[in-house]
Amino acid sequence: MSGKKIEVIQNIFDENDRIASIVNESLEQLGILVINIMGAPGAGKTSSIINMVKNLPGEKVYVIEGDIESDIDTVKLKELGIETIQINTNGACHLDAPTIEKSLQELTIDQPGILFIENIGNLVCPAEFQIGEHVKMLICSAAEGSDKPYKYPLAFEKANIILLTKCDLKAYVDFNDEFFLRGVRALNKSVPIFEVNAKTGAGFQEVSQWLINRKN
Amino acid sequence: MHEMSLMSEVFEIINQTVETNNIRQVKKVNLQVGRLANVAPDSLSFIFGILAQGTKCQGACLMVEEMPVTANCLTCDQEFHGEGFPLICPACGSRETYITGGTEFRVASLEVDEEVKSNN
Repeated sequence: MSGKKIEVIQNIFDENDRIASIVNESLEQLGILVINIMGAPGAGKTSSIINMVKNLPGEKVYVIEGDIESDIDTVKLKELGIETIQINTNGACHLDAPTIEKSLQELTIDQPGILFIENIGNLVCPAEFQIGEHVKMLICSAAEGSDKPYKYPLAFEKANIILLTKCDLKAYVDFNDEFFLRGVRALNKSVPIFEVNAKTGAGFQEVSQWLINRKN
Repeated sequence: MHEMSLMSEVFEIINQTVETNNIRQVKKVNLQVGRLANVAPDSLSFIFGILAQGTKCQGACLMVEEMPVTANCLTCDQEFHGEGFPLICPACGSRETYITGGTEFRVASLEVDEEVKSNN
Protein backbone atom coordinates (compact mmCIF):
# COMPACT_ATOMS: atom_id res chain seq x y z
CA MET A 1 0.00 0.00 0.00
CA SER A 2 1.44 3.34 -1.00
CA GLY A 3 0.46 6.98 -0.68
CA LYS A 4 -0.21 8.79 -3.93
CA LYS A 5 -1.10 12.30 -4.98
CA ILE A 6 -3.82 12.68 -7.58
CA GLU A 7 -4.07 15.99 -9.40
CA VAL A 8 -7.67 17.08 -9.79
CA ILE A 9 -7.78 20.84 -10.55
CA GLN A 10 -11.52 21.12 -10.83
CA ASN A 11 -13.43 24.28 -10.09
CA ILE A 12 -16.29 23.99 -7.62
CA PHE A 13 -18.35 26.40 -9.75
CA ASP A 14 -17.70 24.45 -13.00
CA GLU A 15 -20.94 22.49 -12.92
CA ASN A 16 -22.98 25.58 -11.99
CA ASP A 17 -21.31 27.63 -14.73
CA ARG A 18 -21.83 24.89 -17.32
CA ILE A 19 -25.57 24.83 -16.61
CA ALA A 20 -25.66 28.65 -16.53
CA SER A 21 -24.21 28.70 -20.06
CA ILE A 22 -26.87 26.28 -21.27
CA VAL A 23 -29.65 28.42 -19.72
CA ASN A 24 -28.11 31.59 -21.14
CA GLU A 25 -27.78 30.24 -24.68
CA SER A 26 -31.13 28.47 -24.84
CA LEU A 27 -32.97 31.59 -23.69
CA GLU A 28 -31.00 33.79 -26.04
CA GLN A 29 -32.10 31.57 -28.93
CA LEU A 30 -35.70 32.22 -27.87
CA GLY A 31 -35.04 35.96 -27.97
CA ILE A 32 -35.11 36.37 -24.20
CA LEU A 33 -32.89 38.87 -22.37
CA VAL A 34 -32.24 37.53 -18.86
CA ILE A 35 -31.78 40.02 -16.01
CA ASN A 36 -30.39 38.80 -12.68
CA ILE A 37 -31.71 41.23 -10.08
CA MET A 38 -29.60 41.39 -6.96
CA GLY A 39 -29.93 43.52 -3.87
CA ALA A 40 -30.35 43.52 -0.11
CA PRO A 41 -33.68 42.62 1.51
CA GLY A 42 -35.97 45.63 1.22
CA ALA A 43 -33.86 47.40 -1.39
CA GLY A 44 -36.87 47.60 -3.70
CA LYS A 45 -36.25 44.73 -6.13
CA THR A 46 -39.91 43.84 -6.67
CA SER A 47 -41.04 47.47 -6.80
CA SER A 48 -38.36 48.12 -9.40
CA ILE A 49 -39.55 45.15 -11.50
CA ILE A 50 -43.11 46.50 -11.40
CA ASN A 51 -41.94 49.95 -12.50
CA MET A 52 -39.70 48.59 -15.25
CA VAL A 53 -42.57 46.47 -16.59
CA LYS A 54 -44.86 49.52 -16.65
CA ASN A 55 -42.33 51.16 -18.94
CA LEU A 56 -41.98 48.15 -21.25
CA PRO A 57 -45.40 48.21 -22.95
CA GLY A 58 -44.28 46.49 -26.13
CA GLU A 59 -42.28 43.73 -24.43
CA LYS A 60 -43.39 40.37 -23.18
CA VAL A 61 -42.12 40.09 -19.60
CA TYR A 62 -41.53 36.99 -17.52
CA VAL A 63 -40.50 36.94 -13.85
CA ILE A 64 -38.93 34.28 -11.67
CA GLU A 65 -39.22 35.31 -8.01
CA GLY A 66 -36.62 33.93 -5.66
CA ASP A 67 -37.37 34.03 -1.95
CA ILE A 68 -36.34 32.00 1.04
CA GLU A 69 -40.01 31.71 2.04
CA SER A 70 -43.44 33.01 0.95
CA ASP A 71 -45.08 33.92 -2.35
CA ILE A 72 -45.98 37.50 -1.39
CA ASP A 73 -44.11 39.04 -4.32
CA THR A 74 -45.44 36.53 -6.84
CA VAL A 75 -49.03 37.22 -5.79
CA LYS A 76 -48.34 40.95 -6.15
CA LEU A 77 -46.88 40.55 -9.64
CA LYS A 78 -49.57 38.14 -10.84
CA GLU A 79 -52.27 40.59 -9.73
CA LEU A 80 -50.69 43.06 -12.13
CA GLY A 81 -50.92 40.50 -14.93
CA ILE A 82 -47.21 39.72 -14.97
CA GLU A 83 -46.36 36.12 -15.75
CA THR A 84 -44.48 34.99 -12.64
CA ILE A 85 -43.30 31.79 -11.07
CA GLN A 86 -42.04 31.43 -7.51
CA ILE A 87 -38.94 29.68 -6.23
CA ASN A 88 -38.61 29.12 -2.49
CA THR A 89 -35.10 28.13 -1.51
CA ASN A 90 -36.10 27.17 2.06
CA GLY A 91 -33.03 28.72 3.57
CA ALA A 92 -30.49 28.86 0.75
CA CYS A 93 -29.00 32.34 0.48
CA HIS A 94 -28.80 32.59 -3.33
CA LEU A 95 -30.20 31.17 -6.56
CA ASP A 96 -27.99 28.90 -8.64
CA ALA A 97 -28.09 27.73 -12.24
CA PRO A 98 -29.55 24.23 -11.63
CA THR A 99 -32.44 25.82 -9.72
CA ILE A 100 -33.18 28.18 -12.62
CA GLU A 101 -32.87 25.41 -15.21
CA LYS A 102 -35.41 23.36 -13.28
CA SER A 103 -37.83 26.24 -12.72
CA LEU A 104 -37.79 27.15 -16.41
CA GLN A 105 -39.70 23.93 -17.08
CA GLU A 106 -42.68 25.58 -15.36
CA LEU A 107 -42.45 28.75 -17.42
CA THR A 108 -44.18 28.87 -20.79
CA ILE A 109 -42.06 31.02 -23.04
CA ASP A 110 -44.20 31.68 -26.09
CA GLN A 111 -42.57 34.85 -27.40
CA PRO A 112 -39.35 36.86 -27.17
CA GLY A 113 -39.01 39.33 -24.34
CA ILE A 114 -37.33 40.00 -21.03
CA LEU A 115 -37.00 37.58 -18.12
CA PHE A 116 -36.38 39.18 -14.74
CA ILE A 117 -35.00 36.80 -12.14
CA GLU A 118 -35.29 38.31 -8.68
CA ASN A 119 -32.51 36.82 -6.61
CA ILE A 120 -32.63 36.24 -2.85
CA GLY A 121 -32.28 39.47 -0.86
CA ASN A 122 -28.59 39.35 -0.07
CA LEU A 123 -25.58 41.36 -1.23
CA VAL A 124 -22.99 38.62 -0.77
CA CYS A 125 -23.71 35.20 -2.30
CA PRO A 126 -25.84 36.07 -5.37
CA ALA A 127 -22.86 37.91 -6.87
CA GLU A 128 -20.88 34.68 -6.98
CA PHE A 129 -23.30 32.40 -8.81
CA GLN A 130 -24.09 32.76 -12.47
CA ILE A 131 -27.67 31.77 -13.19
CA GLY A 132 -27.75 32.19 -16.96
CA GLU A 133 -28.17 35.96 -17.00
CA HIS A 134 -27.14 38.39 -19.73
CA VAL A 135 -27.25 41.34 -17.33
CA LYS A 136 -26.54 41.62 -13.62
CA MET A 137 -28.70 44.42 -12.24
CA LEU A 138 -27.84 45.67 -8.76
CA ILE A 139 -30.59 47.38 -6.81
CA CYS A 140 -29.32 49.54 -4.00
CA SER A 141 -31.48 51.89 -1.96
CA ALA A 142 -30.50 55.28 -0.62
CA ALA A 143 -31.83 54.12 2.75
CA GLU A 144 -29.11 51.47 2.97
CA GLY A 145 -26.48 54.19 3.14
CA SER A 146 -23.80 55.46 0.82
CA ASP A 147 -21.12 53.12 2.18
CA LYS A 148 -22.47 49.96 0.53
CA PRO A 149 -19.95 49.82 -2.36
CA TYR A 150 -17.15 49.77 0.19
CA LYS A 151 -18.76 47.04 2.29
CA TYR A 152 -19.98 44.74 -0.49
CA PRO A 153 -17.48 45.30 -3.31
CA LEU A 154 -18.04 42.13 -5.33
CA ALA A 155 -21.70 42.90 -6.07
CA PHE A 156 -20.78 46.40 -7.30
CA GLU A 157 -17.77 45.15 -9.23
CA LYS A 158 -19.86 42.61 -11.14
CA ALA A 159 -22.92 44.79 -11.83
CA ASN A 160 -23.76 45.71 -15.44
CA ILE A 161 -26.34 48.28 -14.31
CA ILE A 162 -27.09 49.84 -10.92
CA LEU A 163 -30.41 51.29 -9.76
CA LEU A 164 -30.26 53.63 -6.79
CA THR A 165 -33.78 53.38 -5.37
CA LYS A 166 -35.72 55.41 -2.78
CA CYS A 167 -33.97 58.56 -3.92
CA ASP A 168 -36.72 60.62 -2.30
CA LEU A 169 -35.29 59.51 1.07
CA LYS A 170 -31.79 60.83 0.44
CA ALA A 171 -32.24 63.97 2.54
CA TYR A 172 -33.71 62.02 5.46
CA VAL A 173 -30.92 59.46 5.66
CA ASP A 174 -28.00 61.82 4.99
CA PHE A 175 -27.11 60.01 1.79
CA ASN A 176 -23.72 61.17 0.54
CA ASP A 177 -23.83 61.12 -3.28
CA GLU A 178 -20.17 61.90 -3.76
CA PHE A 179 -19.02 59.16 -1.35
CA PHE A 180 -21.33 56.60 -2.96
CA LEU A 181 -20.23 57.44 -6.49
CA ARG A 182 -16.56 57.38 -5.58
CA GLY A 183 -17.05 53.91 -4.09
CA VAL A 184 -18.86 52.59 -7.16
CA ARG A 185 -16.41 54.11 -9.64
CA ALA A 186 -13.43 52.62 -7.82
CA LEU A 187 -14.89 49.19 -8.47
CA ASN A 188 -16.69 49.64 -11.73
CA LYS A 189 -15.65 52.58 -13.83
CA SER A 190 -18.30 52.49 -16.51
CA VAL A 191 -21.42 50.88 -15.01
CA PRO A 192 -24.52 53.01 -15.66
CA ILE A 193 -26.24 54.24 -12.49
CA PHE A 194 -29.91 55.22 -12.60
CA GLU A 195 -31.53 57.16 -9.78
CA VAL A 196 -35.13 56.06 -9.36
CA ASN A 197 -38.15 56.38 -7.13
CA ALA A 198 -40.68 53.57 -7.26
CA LYS A 199 -43.36 55.66 -5.51
CA THR A 200 -43.53 58.20 -8.30
CA GLY A 201 -42.01 56.05 -11.04
CA ALA A 202 -39.32 58.67 -11.64
CA GLY A 203 -36.29 57.39 -13.54
CA PHE A 204 -37.74 54.06 -14.65
CA GLN A 205 -38.46 55.12 -18.21
CA GLU A 206 -34.73 55.56 -18.70
CA VAL A 207 -34.00 52.17 -17.12
CA SER A 208 -36.48 50.41 -19.38
CA GLN A 209 -35.04 52.18 -22.43
CA TRP A 210 -31.59 50.94 -21.39
CA LEU A 211 -32.98 47.38 -21.26
CA ILE A 212 -34.58 47.71 -24.69
CA ASN A 213 -31.32 49.02 -26.14
CA ARG A 214 -29.42 46.17 -24.50
CA LYS A 215 -31.85 43.62 -25.90
CA ASN A 216 -31.82 44.85 -29.51
CA MET B 1 -23.13 31.34 4.33
CA HIS B 2 -23.27 28.76 1.59
CA GLU B 3 -20.24 26.73 2.57
CA MET B 4 -22.46 23.66 3.07
CA SER B 5 -23.65 23.63 -0.55
CA LEU B 6 -20.16 24.42 -1.83
CA MET B 7 -18.70 21.59 0.24
CA SER B 8 -21.31 19.25 -1.25
CA GLU B 9 -19.89 20.18 -4.67
CA VAL B 10 -16.38 19.49 -3.35
CA PHE B 11 -17.55 16.02 -2.33
CA GLU B 12 -19.08 15.46 -5.78
CA ILE B 13 -15.64 16.08 -7.25
CA ILE B 14 -13.93 13.91 -4.65
CA ASN B 15 -16.39 11.05 -5.18
CA GLN B 16 -15.88 11.16 -8.96
CA THR B 17 -12.13 11.03 -8.41
CA VAL B 18 -12.47 8.17 -5.92
CA GLU B 19 -14.61 6.21 -8.38
CA THR B 20 -12.33 6.65 -11.36
CA ASN B 21 -9.16 5.87 -9.40
CA ASN B 22 -8.42 2.90 -7.26
CA ILE B 23 -8.67 4.66 -3.91
CA ARG B 24 -8.94 2.97 -0.53
CA GLN B 25 -8.66 6.01 1.68
CA VAL B 26 -8.34 9.74 1.11
CA LYS B 27 -5.70 11.17 3.43
CA LYS B 28 -5.63 14.79 2.40
CA VAL B 29 -7.77 17.08 0.27
CA ASN B 30 -6.03 20.15 -1.12
CA LEU B 31 -8.32 23.06 -1.97
CA GLN B 32 -7.40 26.38 -3.53
CA VAL B 33 -9.55 29.30 -2.44
CA GLY B 34 -9.12 32.81 -3.83
CA ARG B 35 -9.06 35.74 -1.43
CA LEU B 36 -12.10 37.19 -3.19
CA ALA B 37 -14.06 33.93 -3.29
CA ASN B 38 -16.09 34.92 -0.21
CA VAL B 39 -15.57 31.49 1.29
CA ALA B 40 -14.67 31.09 4.96
CA PRO B 41 -11.93 28.44 5.40
CA ASP B 42 -12.90 27.70 9.03
CA SER B 43 -16.46 26.91 7.98
CA LEU B 44 -15.16 24.68 5.18
CA SER B 45 -13.09 22.62 7.62
CA PHE B 46 -16.00 22.28 10.01
CA ILE B 47 -18.41 21.14 7.30
CA PHE B 48 -15.80 18.88 5.70
CA GLY B 49 -15.49 16.97 8.98
CA ILE B 50 -19.25 16.43 9.10
CA LEU B 51 -19.68 15.39 5.46
CA ALA B 52 -16.61 13.12 5.57
CA GLN B 53 -18.13 10.84 8.18
CA GLY B 54 -18.74 7.36 6.82
CA THR B 55 -16.95 8.11 3.55
CA LYS B 56 -13.46 7.40 2.25
CA CYS B 57 -12.57 10.90 3.46
CA GLN B 58 -13.25 10.13 7.11
CA GLY B 59 -10.22 11.24 9.11
CA ALA B 60 -8.75 13.03 6.12
CA CYS B 61 -7.09 16.39 6.48
CA LEU B 62 -8.44 19.41 4.60
CA MET B 63 -5.79 21.88 3.41
CA VAL B 64 -6.95 25.26 2.17
CA GLU B 65 -4.43 27.22 0.12
CA GLU B 66 -5.33 30.88 -0.11
CA MET B 67 -4.85 32.21 -3.66
CA PRO B 68 -3.73 35.79 -4.22
CA VAL B 69 -5.64 38.46 -6.10
CA THR B 70 -4.19 39.11 -9.54
CA ALA B 71 -5.46 41.51 -12.16
CA ASN B 72 -4.67 42.91 -15.58
CA CYS B 73 -4.74 46.58 -16.44
CA LEU B 74 -6.93 47.38 -19.45
CA THR B 75 -5.11 50.69 -19.98
CA CYS B 76 -1.46 49.63 -19.97
CA ASP B 77 -1.75 45.82 -19.99
CA GLN B 78 0.30 45.51 -16.77
CA GLU B 79 -0.31 42.37 -14.73
CA PHE B 80 -0.30 43.00 -11.00
CA HIS B 81 -1.09 41.62 -7.55
CA GLY B 82 -3.86 43.35 -5.64
CA GLU B 83 -4.70 43.27 -1.96
CA GLY B 84 -8.43 43.59 -2.57
CA PHE B 85 -10.92 46.15 -3.80
CA PRO B 86 -10.55 48.66 -5.31
CA LEU B 87 -8.04 47.29 -7.81
CA ILE B 88 -5.76 50.04 -9.05
CA CYS B 89 -2.91 49.44 -11.52
CA PRO B 90 0.40 50.18 -9.75
CA ALA B 91 2.04 51.12 -13.05
CA CYS B 92 -0.36 53.71 -14.44
CA GLY B 93 -2.98 54.24 -11.71
CA SER B 94 -5.86 53.09 -13.91
CA ARG B 95 -8.92 51.61 -12.29
CA GLU B 96 -9.94 49.88 -15.49
CA THR B 97 -8.79 46.43 -14.60
CA TYR B 98 -10.10 42.94 -14.73
CA ILE B 99 -9.56 40.18 -12.21
CA THR B 100 -7.48 37.25 -13.44
CA GLY B 101 -7.08 35.41 -10.14
CA GLY B 102 -8.39 35.42 -6.59
CA THR B 103 -12.00 34.36 -7.14
CA GLU B 104 -11.25 30.69 -7.76
CA PHE B 105 -12.43 27.86 -5.57
CA ARG B 106 -11.19 24.47 -6.69
CA VAL B 107 -10.09 21.03 -5.68
CA ALA B 108 -6.39 20.97 -6.54
CA SER B 109 -5.44 17.43 -5.58
CA LEU B 110 -6.09 14.47 -3.33
CA GLU B 111 -3.50 12.54 -1.35
CA VAL B 112 -4.66 8.97 -1.10
CA ASP B 113 -3.90 5.37 -0.25
CA GLU B 114 -4.67 3.05 -3.11
CA GLU B 115 -6.42 -0.27 -2.83
CA VAL B 116 -4.05 -3.16 -2.34
CA LYS B 117 -4.20 -5.24 -5.50
CA SER B 118 -4.75 -8.89 -4.86
CA ASN B 119 -2.40 -10.99 -6.98
CA ASN B 120 -3.71 -14.35 -5.83
